[in-house]
Amino acid sequence: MGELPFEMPDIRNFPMEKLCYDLKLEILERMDPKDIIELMKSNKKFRAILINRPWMIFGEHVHSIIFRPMHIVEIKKHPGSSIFIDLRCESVLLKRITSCVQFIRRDIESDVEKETALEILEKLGSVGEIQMMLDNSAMRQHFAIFKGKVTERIFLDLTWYTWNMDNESNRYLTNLFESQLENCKEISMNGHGSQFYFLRQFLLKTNVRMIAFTVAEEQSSDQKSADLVAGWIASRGIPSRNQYPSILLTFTPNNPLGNFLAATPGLQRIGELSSISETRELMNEMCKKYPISDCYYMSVKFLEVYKQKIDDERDCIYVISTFESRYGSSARLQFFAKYVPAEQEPKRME
Amino acid sequence: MADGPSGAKKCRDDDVLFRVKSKEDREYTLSKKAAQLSGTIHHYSENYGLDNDEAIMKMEPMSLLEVSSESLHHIIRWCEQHRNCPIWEEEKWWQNERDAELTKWEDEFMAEMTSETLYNLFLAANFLDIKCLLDKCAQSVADMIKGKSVDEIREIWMLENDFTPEEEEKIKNENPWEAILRYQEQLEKEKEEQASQPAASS
Repeated sequence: MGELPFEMPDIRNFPMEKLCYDLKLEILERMDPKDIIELMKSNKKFRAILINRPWMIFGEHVHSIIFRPMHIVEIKKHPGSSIFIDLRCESVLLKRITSCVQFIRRDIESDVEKETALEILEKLGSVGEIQMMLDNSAMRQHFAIFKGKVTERIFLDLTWYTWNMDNESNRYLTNLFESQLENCKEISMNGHGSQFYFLRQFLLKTNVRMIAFTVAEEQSSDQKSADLVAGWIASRGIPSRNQYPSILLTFTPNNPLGNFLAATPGLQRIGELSSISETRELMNEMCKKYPISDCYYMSVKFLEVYKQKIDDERDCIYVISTFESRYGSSARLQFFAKYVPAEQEPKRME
Repeated sequence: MADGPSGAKKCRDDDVLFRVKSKEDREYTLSKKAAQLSGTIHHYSENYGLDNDEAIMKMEPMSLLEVSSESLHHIIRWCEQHRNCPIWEEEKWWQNERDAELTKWEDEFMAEMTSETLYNLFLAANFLDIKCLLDKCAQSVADMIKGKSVDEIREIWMLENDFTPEEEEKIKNENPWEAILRYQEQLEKEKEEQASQPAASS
């Protein structure tokens, strides 16, 4: 059980039973489910309230809904407290949830699980964060039923996406980004580098502040997409309607930048990251959230910082990091770009 | 009465003051902005034409017959501290943004309460329809029993143990979800039976 956020005086003898029914419900709605279970064992009247209104145990808003294997869903009413529900018989407890901070849904195991996930999604008016690693058709089914907005963060696996002008997938993704992700602060996507040019059109429908794009292995192992994707960022801009967006690109092994520096006009090499502390903090935060795989065996071999003028108001800062395995296997590239106000002049390298 | 946590806001000399009277007939004033946090005062203002500063300055004190002087003192402190806060979203209370400094003040404020003052404050907040205070009181009462055992819950919330020894023994070892689901199933069955009855009789 977590510590209370503040020191409550050791109050005893609070006349709970004298409170009117509505105020009792206000209290129950804010209680941790584990405390509610103990309360059910304490007094018949409270037991009757909860048995009659079991959805009050979780209430309308919970912190997290996490689908686990074997028909289990983990509900965190508060961040530090978990209750595990068996979806085959206990889904009645979830029927009033209309909002959550985090919805994590991975592989589909059974029809019960799928139905419950869809039922919950249908009622959710707003979700802070959605993590779904589903195939294309399952993802479409889930988003067709979810009418709310994602406000904080979403993870999307778009490795299935290949551009086709009249494709239904294009209309579907346009609608998803335009109406449900428009004001989402952070969008994380997996996709093929060769498709990034087309995927960026969806991001341009949003005000996203941070994009994390993990470049999946291309179908042909000869195809190197780092120059292509980084080049698109430099020539077409970071795809967002936000004025100061940022993007973190993580590439597959042996996908280095070859001619990015030569092919990008107006790049200015700048010194230490310490001179752009806000950008450095953001980059560190993003790299922590989206680490390269095997990062524990990797160390930074090369780190370069560049600046490019975007317009009168904005510059773009690029940070290019190459990681090398301590055991000599293939190198990995991370490319970070962020727009900053033009007056934020970083120190030049002496 | 204590002045409360440090950094407490008070109404300023140039504030337009709203006059209220406790059940002990003691008069208090609070700034117009602070008074607007109360749904009850807001309705009163609408009904009595207190929609401009001049009318408020000339008003007779509003009698709050359900609110004690002590509770009113705390309520005014709370409202003055929250007078510049955005409107509290009641239905989606979790969406309200919480400023860290204000939360610290609120925690210190609640820490001063005894069980009796908290109870009276909760009722007063409900009567005066002050959403943000109602939320804080409800959360504080809920937090009282966080991580406590059955016996401790009974003691803290003064709950009667109204189970028979047999019931208590049974409940001690039961899976609470099963109990809930059993009851829900029973309700469903009853509903189905009720629904099928008119058809059977016709």
